[in-house]
Amino acid sequence: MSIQVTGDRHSLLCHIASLGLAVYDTILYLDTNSCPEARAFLEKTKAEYKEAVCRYEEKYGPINLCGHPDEDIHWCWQL
Amino acid sequence: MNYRNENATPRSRYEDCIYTRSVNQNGCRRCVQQRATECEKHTPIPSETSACRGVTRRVTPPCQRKGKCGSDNGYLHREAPIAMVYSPVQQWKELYDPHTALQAGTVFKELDLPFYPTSCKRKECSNCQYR
Repeated sequence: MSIQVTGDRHSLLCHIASLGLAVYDTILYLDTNSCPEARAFLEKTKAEYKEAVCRYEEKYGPINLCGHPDEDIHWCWQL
Repeated sequence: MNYRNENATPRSRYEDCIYTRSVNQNGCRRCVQQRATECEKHTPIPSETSACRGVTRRVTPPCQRKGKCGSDNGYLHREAPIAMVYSPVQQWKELYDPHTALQAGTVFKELDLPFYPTSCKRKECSNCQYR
C-alpha cells in the first residue's frame, strides 16, 4: 500500500512518520548486522526523511525544537 | 538409547517424571498416578484431576515446606534440566514500503507476525483485560 503524498499537512506528517520508522528500524537492524544493502537503504531513506522534513518546515514551520534554522522567523509575543 | 526421552523437551521430560498417564475405559487420558514430587524429603501430595470430560486438568501439588527446599516458587523441580534457546539471524530481505511499515509496526516483512492475546491463567490476573 502506498499513500500519495500531497502537499497537505496530514499527508506530509504521515510521510515523515513513515520514513522515520524505516530509518529507525534499519538502524536497529544495523546494530547487529553488517550489511552494505542495509547501509545503502539507510542513507537513501535518511535523505528522503530530511527532504520531507524540509518540505514540511517550509510550509508549516518547525517540526521539532531544532528544526527550521531560518532566523528571520520569530515568535510573535503579542497576544 | 532412549529415543523417546532424547526427543522430548525438557518440560515434557520433567512432567513425565511426575505424572504417569493412561487411558481409562472411556478413552480419556488423565493422570492416574503420581510419582516423586518436590524434594525427596517431602511427602508427595496427590494431584487433582478434573471430571472425565475429555480434558485433563492438573493441579500442581504444593510443597509442604515452602521456602526451605527452593521449590516453592512455581512448580519446577530444582533439579529440572536447563533449557537452551536459539534464534536465527535476521536476513536483509523483503522490506515493506514506508507507509505499509508504519501500519505494520516494522519495515521487515518477516517480522510482521500475527500476535493474538490469550487469556492469562494466573489467579492474580483475575482483573486482567485479556482474561
